[in-house]
Amino acid sequence: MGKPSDLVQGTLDLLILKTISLEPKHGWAIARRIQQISNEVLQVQQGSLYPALHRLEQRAWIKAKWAETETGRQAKFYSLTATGRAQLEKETANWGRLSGAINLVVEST
Amino acid sequence: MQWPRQLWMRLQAFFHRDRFTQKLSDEIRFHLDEQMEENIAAGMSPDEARHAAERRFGNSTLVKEETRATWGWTWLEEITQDLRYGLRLLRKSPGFTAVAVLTLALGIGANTAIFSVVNAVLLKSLPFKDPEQLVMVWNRGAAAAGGDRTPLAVADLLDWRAQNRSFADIAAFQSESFSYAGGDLPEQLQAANVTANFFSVLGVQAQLGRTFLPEEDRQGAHHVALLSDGFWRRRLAGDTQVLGRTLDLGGEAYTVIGILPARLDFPAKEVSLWTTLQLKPPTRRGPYFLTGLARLKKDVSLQRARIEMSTLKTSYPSGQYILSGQQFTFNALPVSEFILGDVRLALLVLMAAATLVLLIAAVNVANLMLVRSAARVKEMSLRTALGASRSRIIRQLLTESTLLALTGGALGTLLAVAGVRVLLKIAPDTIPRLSQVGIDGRVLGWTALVSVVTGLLFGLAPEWQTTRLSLEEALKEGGRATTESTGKRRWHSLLVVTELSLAVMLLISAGLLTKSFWRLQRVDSGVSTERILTMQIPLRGPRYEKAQQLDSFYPRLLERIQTLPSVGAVAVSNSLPPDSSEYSDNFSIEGRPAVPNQPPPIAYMVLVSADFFRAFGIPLRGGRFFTAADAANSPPVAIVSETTARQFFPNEDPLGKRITGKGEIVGVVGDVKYSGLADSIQPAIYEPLTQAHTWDAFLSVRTDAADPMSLIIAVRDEIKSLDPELPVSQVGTLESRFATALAQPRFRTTLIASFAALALVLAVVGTYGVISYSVTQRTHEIGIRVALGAPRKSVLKLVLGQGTALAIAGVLIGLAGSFALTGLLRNLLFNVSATDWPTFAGTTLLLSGTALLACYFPARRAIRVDPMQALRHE
Repeated sequence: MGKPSDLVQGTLDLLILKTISLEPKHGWAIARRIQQISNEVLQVQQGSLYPALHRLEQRAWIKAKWAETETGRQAKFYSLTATGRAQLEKETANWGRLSGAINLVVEST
Repeated sequence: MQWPRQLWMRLQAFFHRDRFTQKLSDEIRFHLDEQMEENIAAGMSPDEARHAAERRFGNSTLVKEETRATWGWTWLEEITQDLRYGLRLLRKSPGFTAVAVLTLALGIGANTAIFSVVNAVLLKSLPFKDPEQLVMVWNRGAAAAGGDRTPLAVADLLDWRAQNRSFADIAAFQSESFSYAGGDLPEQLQAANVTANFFSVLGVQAQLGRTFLPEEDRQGAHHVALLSDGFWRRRLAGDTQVLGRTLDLGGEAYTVIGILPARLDFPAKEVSLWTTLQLKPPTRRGPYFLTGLARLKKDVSLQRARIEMSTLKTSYPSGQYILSGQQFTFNALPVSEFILGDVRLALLVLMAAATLVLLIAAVNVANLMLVRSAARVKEMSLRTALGASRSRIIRQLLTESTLLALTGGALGTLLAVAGVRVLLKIAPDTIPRLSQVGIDGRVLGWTALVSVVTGLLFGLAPEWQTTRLSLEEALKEGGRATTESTGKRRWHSLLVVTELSLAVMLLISAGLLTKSFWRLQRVDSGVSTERILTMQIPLRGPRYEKAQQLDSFYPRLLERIQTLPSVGAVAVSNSLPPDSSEYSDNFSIEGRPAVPNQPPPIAYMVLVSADFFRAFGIPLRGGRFFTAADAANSPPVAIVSETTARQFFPNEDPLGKRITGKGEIVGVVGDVKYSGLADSIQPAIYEPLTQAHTWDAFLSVRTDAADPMSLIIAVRDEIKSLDPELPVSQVGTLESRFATALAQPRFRTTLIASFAALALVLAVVGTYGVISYSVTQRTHEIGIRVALGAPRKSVLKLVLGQGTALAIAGVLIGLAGSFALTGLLRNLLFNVSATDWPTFAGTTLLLSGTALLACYFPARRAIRVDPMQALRHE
């Protein structure tokens, strides 16, 4: 029995950081957003989001705040910290390099 | 800077764990609710929507657990959980817990007790500066001269100091004793007579006052003394004003110049004071009476020093005595070896024995755990099915075994405290630094370490077994008593073989030491020891300065004591069996020229009063004993021992021959051991006390009274009436002197024999447990066999065969191990070879016999199995 995650951990971190870079979001919204934007390709096992969120919060890349949603319920909203924003830039650049390189390899054959 | 914030988060998570957990639940509930709403909006029924949301989310318990793990405190929570669970389990099966804890406590207790002795005696550093640089130096000469520890002459000391380049400095000392009459009780004090640089070589300062000045060991220097802390407190009430005061020691005034630290117990712990030698410029090479103590220069190894010293020439005065110098070579030993000697080896052997016992205990508990783990297979498979990882289960099981081991360790420490008390009671005084034995931080640390390691050791085997089970196998086997799986049986067998082989090694070692002790106890010392009272009466001080004073004292003493009721024979001598000899010396036989390049003959010189041989029951082999007629002014005479006669008069009659300076040989007597029971017999020459003089006298009284000690008061009164200030020491029976000489071997033999007995019991109990369990497990199988017509005999064979195979394997491995290891015991063995076959054979028989007996009872149970019942039981 492996971990219930279809994504490599580092990748999930990047997706989370990217998703909340524009505005604070709660967990469910993050999961939905990743799914929508990836045209339903990235099927994150939703539960596996939470250990990742809490780990990022422990690392102080993101911070969390309980607030009301538009439907009036209490939810935990995550947003980027300054460190998190710097990290996002670094990870994005890394990702770009990595995927570019993989593309090169894959397409050259 | 992120870490302060991270730390803050962690602490928050720790202190508000409950709130954090609650919030996490809220967060996940919110998530599920949102998803459910979306599902409903998509047209599902509420129930369907909930299930879909949960499926989409995954195992929420696991998610919560993993999330909490990111807070960084799960390990603590898990340990607490495991501990609580472990405690509950141990409480639930009190029988198992009691047996396991007790077994461990015995093993750990024995180990801790011995370690506390090892700690104090071997591990605590010696009370000197850089003790590893300190070496003891001797001459190495003929056995009768002192063998490897032949004393030094002043000339040696001066030669070596002048010529050597390996040592920073060389000091020397000799034992001395003084009578001290301060207060109402005359007392004989053990003292060390040392060179002035003795303490600077040791690197020891006085705790009060100063140590000796360089000029204080010259001839004619003022008498000064340093006191031991013990003597200072005991006799001088720890008075700090004592410096500069004079003490009357043996009739001479000594000025107290300092008090040494309490920890200093060199050269012996009985030493109460240190005085300086008065080094006279030597006129010849001998006499030999000093023990050397040297400090190696930095970066010079003992090996190099030995080589350098062997090249030194004995330059001292003329060639006239060079002969006696040539037979000696240089010998040196690290000071720690001098202080610890045989004790180090004996203690290490005991420590190894205690560790073997502990291992056997651990193996037994591992067996118990293995049996129990069989009953827990179902629990473990359930846990695995619910998502517990293998490492998580191992951690839980290890927590349980460590808990067990620590409980055993705690109880073991209590046992050790009691054990140490017993140890100290039976330990001989000759073991150095015993007074420092106790349970300190290091001992407790050791116990904790040993407990944890033991816990891991006996915990791991069954755990590996348990967690390796596949799920199907577990479900198949779980809960039903089927035949033991082969894998598990192999584990049980391995453990039994291990403990049997360890027990064999321990039993053989104990057997060898016991046999050696038995032989040592029965060794012929040459004297009959019954009903003899002995004491030391050193004649020191102005009243005994002249030889004539001695000549008048001894006869009067002997005469007075002879008249006491129930006294058989009385004797005064300078030596006593089994291990008190005053000195040995070269001698030459008249009319026999010295052989060049051959060491001159050497023998113990024993000065005795006429009745000595009669008092000690030494047999006459030829000629006559000394008589009253051998007076100071009559022709000088000597008596030689059988060995002397055999060695130096091989084909002739020694009677009538003359020993230069000692007179005519008038008798030959039986050999007596003067240099320890384990030593070989050395030549001895007896001289009458009337014709030679000694100031260090032993008084021996043979009596008809059942208890020689009943004579003490009468004898003391007689001595007091002759000289009220004469101190009497070492009062006791000759038998007790022999017992003291045997104390160390007795101590280690007793201990190792008890360890071996403990090991035997543990190993037998372990074997019994395993075979018995195996029979229980195979009841079903045996039932079928019997139902199918197997004769009882074949069932018996089945069970006994299993036990026999284990016993044979265990014994063989143990024998092989013993052959490899008992060589280490060689130096502790007396007249027993390290591979003494009767001991090996006896142990083999003993262990196989008891192991088979341990199998017999379960086997009997097996043949009584009622097939109907066994099958119905399923």
